[in-house]
Amino acid sequence: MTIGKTRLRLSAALLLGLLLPPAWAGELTLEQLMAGLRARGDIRAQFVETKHLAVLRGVMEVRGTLEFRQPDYLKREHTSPRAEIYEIEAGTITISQPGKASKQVALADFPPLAAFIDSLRAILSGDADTIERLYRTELSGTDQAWTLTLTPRDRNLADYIDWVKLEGREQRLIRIETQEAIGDRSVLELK
Amino acid sequence: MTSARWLRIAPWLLVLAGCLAWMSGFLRVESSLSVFLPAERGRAGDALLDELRQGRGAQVILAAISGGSESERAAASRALADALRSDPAFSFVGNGADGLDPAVIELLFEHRYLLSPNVDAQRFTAESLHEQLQRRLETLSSPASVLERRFLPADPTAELSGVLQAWQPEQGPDRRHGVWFSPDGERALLLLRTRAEGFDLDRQQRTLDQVRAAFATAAPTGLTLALSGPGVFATQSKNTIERETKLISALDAIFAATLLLLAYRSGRRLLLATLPLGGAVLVAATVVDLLFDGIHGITLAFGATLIGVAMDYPVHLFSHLDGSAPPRQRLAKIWPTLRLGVITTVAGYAALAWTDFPGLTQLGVFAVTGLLCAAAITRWLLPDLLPESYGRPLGPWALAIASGALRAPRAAPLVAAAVAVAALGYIVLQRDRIWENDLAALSPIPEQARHLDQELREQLGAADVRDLVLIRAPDLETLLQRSEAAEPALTTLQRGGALGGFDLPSRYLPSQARQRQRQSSLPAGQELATALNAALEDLPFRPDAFQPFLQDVEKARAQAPLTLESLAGTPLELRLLPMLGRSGDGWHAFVPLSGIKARATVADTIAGAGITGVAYIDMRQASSDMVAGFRDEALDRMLWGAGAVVLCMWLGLRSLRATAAAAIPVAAAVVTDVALLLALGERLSLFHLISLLLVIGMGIDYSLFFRHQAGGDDQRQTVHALLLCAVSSSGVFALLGMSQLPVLRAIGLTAALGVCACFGFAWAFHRATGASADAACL
Repeated sequence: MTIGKTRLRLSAALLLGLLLPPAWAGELTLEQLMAGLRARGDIRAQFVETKHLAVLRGVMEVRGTLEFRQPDYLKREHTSPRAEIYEIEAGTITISQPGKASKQVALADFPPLAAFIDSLRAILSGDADTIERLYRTELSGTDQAWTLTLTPRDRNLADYIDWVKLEGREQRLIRIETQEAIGDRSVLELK
Repeated sequence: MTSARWLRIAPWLLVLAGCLAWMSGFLRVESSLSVFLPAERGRAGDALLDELRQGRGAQVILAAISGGSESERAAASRALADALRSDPAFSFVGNGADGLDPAVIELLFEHRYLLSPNVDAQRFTAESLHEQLQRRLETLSSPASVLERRFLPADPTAELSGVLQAWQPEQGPDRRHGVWFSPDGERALLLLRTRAEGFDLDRQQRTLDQVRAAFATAAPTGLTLALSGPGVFATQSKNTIERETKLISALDAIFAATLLLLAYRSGRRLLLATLPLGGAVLVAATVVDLLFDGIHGITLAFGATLIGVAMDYPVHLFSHLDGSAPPRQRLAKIWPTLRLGVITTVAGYAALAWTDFPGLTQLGVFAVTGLLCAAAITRWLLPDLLPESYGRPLGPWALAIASGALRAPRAAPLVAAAVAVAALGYIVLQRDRIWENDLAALSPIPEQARHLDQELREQLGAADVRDLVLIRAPDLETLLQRSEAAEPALTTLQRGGALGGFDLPSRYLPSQARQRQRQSSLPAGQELATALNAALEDLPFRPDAFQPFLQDVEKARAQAPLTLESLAGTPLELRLLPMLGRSGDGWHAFVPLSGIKARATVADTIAGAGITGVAYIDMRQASSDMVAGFRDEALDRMLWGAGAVVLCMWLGLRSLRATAAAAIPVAAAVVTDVALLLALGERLSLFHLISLLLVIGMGIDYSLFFRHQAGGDDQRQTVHALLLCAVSSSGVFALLGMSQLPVLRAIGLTAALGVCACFGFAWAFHRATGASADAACL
C-alpha cells in the first residue's frame, strides 16, 4: 500500500463530505477522522513521553517504540528510563523486563485501565463507535492539523482521567496529552 | 361377612388408613446422612463431627462451561456468576471476576498499617524507605501506574498491595477475558459454595437445578455446563440408586407374584400376601416419624428390607389352608411357632435401638414395630378376610416336592457341619480383609465423572475435600493467633513442594494481638519524618510529596484494630465467615489444603510444630473411622441381638438342647454367608451387616418351622411354605444382587446367599437334632 493511494481515498472521502449538505469547507467530522486513522492501518513509531507528576521534582521522560496492529494488538517497548515491554493483546497485558519472568495481568481486573486502553486502541483502529461510547468528543482544526479532546463519560474512568487531548496531522496521530484526576499530566509525542 | 367379623376388621382398617393419611400428609423424609453419625456428646471431637455433618467440603460445586467461542464462554461465565451472586442459595460464587469494590479497598487502605504482613520495626527505617521509594520510582514509567499513583503520596511502601494479595491472590486459575479458564482455554471455570449443607441431598438437588436453570437463561445455545463436586455426586448416586431400585423392585414384584400365583393359583391370596408387609411399612414409618420427628430416607429403605421377612408370614398361613378347618383354626396351629419366630427376631432387632447413632435407633424402632405389626395383621386380620371354609389341599405336585424335601440323607448334618467349619476357617484366614472402610468404594459414580472432578479441581486450584487443618480455640482472638502460629509451618511445606496451597483465616483478618504488635512497631512522627528525609536525599521525589504518608502513619498509631464486627455487612465478611465456625465450646476453623504431594510430610510437620489446637486431618481417614465406628456399633448391637435371640428361644423352647438345635443352623448360615461373600471378593460394609440381620430373621423362622413337626399333611404344608419362602426371598434378592450398584449388590448378594444357606442348614440339621414334637412353643 502506498501513501498516495491512501491519500486519494481520504481525499475522496473528504470530497464526498464536501458534496453532501450541509457543505462546510475545511471542517472535519469524527467519522472522517476515524476513517482516515483506520485507513492508515498498522503503526510502528518511536515516542517520547513526558510525565509531569506531582510527587516528582522535575519531569520524567520515557522513550521507546509504540506498535499497533489491527485490530487490538498494542505494544510499548521502553528503552529509557529502563528497558521493559508492555504487550497488550485482547484482554491481557504481558509485562516483561530483561532478566525477569514476564507477568500477565487481566485487563478486566482493572476497569479504568481497560477503558483507557480500549479507547487508545479505538483511536488507532479508527473505531468511532467505541470512542463515542466512552467519551464526549470535541474535534477542532482541519484535516491537515486536528485536535480531538475526549472527556470520559464512564465514572470509572472519570475517577482517574479528566481529559485526553489527541493531536494529529492528516491521518497521523502525533501527540497524546493526558490530564489525570489527581493532577498529574503526561504528554506522549510520536515521531 | 358377619357383623362381628366387621367389628374385628374395622379397627385395623382405621389404623392402616390413618397411617396412610399421615404418611401422605405429614411424613417428613430426611435425606441428611448426618443421622448416621453418633449423636452429639459434647466431646472435643465435635468440631470435626460438625464439619462432617454440615459437609462443608461437600458444599463446593465446580462448574465448567465449554463449547462456543472463548469470548462466548467468558461472557456466559460472567452472566452465570452475576445471576448466582444475587441468589441466596449461594454463599460464594467465584469466576475470577470477583474484584473488590472501591468501598472495600477504601476500608482495607484505611487499616493497611495494621493489616499488611510486611509491617514491622524494620519497615520504616531510612534504608528500607529508600529501597521502597526506589521501587516506586521504577513503576512510575509504567503506563499502568495511573492506578497506583493515586495511593503513592499516602502509601509509598505499598502496604495496600500487601493487604490485597491476601484477598486477590496472584496465583489461582488461568484467566482469559478476566475470568477463570482451564489452561487450554476450552473451559471457563467457576467455583460455587452452596448454603445448603453438603449432606442435605434434597436442597443440594434444588441448588443444582437452580444453577442449570440460571445457565440456560444466561448462556447462548451451543454452550454446555458441566457440574462436579461432592454434592453433585451425592445427588447423582441417589438418583441412580432410586432409578435402579425402582426397576429391580418392579422385576421383583413380577417374580414374587408369579411364584405365589403358581403355588396357590389364587389372586386373592396373592393380594392378601402383600398386606402384612405393606401394613407393617405404613405403621412403622408413621411410628418412627412421630417418635423422631421425621424419618430418614435410608431408614425407610433399610427398614423395609429388614422386615422383608414379614413377606413369609402369610405364606406360612396360606400353605396350611387346606379347607379342613376355618382359617382362624388353621392359623392357631402354626401360631406358637410363628409367634416364637417373631418374638425372637424382634428381640434381635431391638438391640439396634440402644445406640448413640440416631440412624441405627430409627432402624431398630422401625424393624421392631414393623415385625410386630406384620405378625399381628397375619394373626388377627388375615383370617377374617378369608371365608370360613376357604382353602383347598395342596396339589399332588406340591406335596411330592414337600415330601422329598423332608427326606434329608443321613450324611446331611455331617456335611453341613463340615461346610460351616470350613467357612469359619476361611473367615479366620481372611480376617485382615473383611471390612470395607472406604466409602468411595461404595460410590456408584462412574470413573469418567471422578476424572472430570479431579481435573477441574486441579485447574481451579480448589482444595480437595480430603485434607484439612483444623484449628480450635475458646474464642476468636485465640483462634486467629493459632492460625498465625500455623502459618510458618504451612509456608515451609508449600515452599518445599509438599503442599500446593492453603487459606488461613488470619491472612484475611489478623489477630488483635498481631495488629497491636504492628501498631507498636510504627515510628513516632518526628522519627519517621527524619527517616523519610534521609531516604529522599538522592531521589527525584519532592521533599513534601509524602506528607499524607506521615499523617496516616501517625493516625494508625492510635487506630482501633480491625475486627470481625467492623467487617459486618461487607463482602469481606462473606469471604471470611465460611472459614469460621462456632460450636458449643468455642470457635473453629477448617483450613483446606490444596495440591497435597506428600501427605505424611504434611501430617508430620504440622504435628511437629506442636501448636495447641492445630491439627492436620485426613478427612478420608476421618470419615473411614466414622464409618468403621458406625459399623462397629452395628456389629456390637448384632452380638447383643444374637444373645437376645438365643435367650428368647430358650424361654420359648424351654430346653437348652432344642435352643441349640434351633440356633446352630442360623449361626452356621451366617458364617457360610460371610465366607461366600469374602470368596466372591466382597468386603463387608454396613450394607452387608444390615442384610445379615435380615438373614438372621429369616433363618430363625426356617429353623423353628423345620422343627415344627406335627406329622402328615401338616408337616408337608409347613415344608411347602418354607420352600416357597426360600425360593421367593432368594430370587428377589438375587435380582437385587445382580445390580451394578455396589450398595444394591451388597444387600442383594448377602441376603440371597444367606437365605439359601439358612434353608440349607435348617433342612440339613433338622433330623440330626431329633426333631421331637417340641412344638409346645411358649
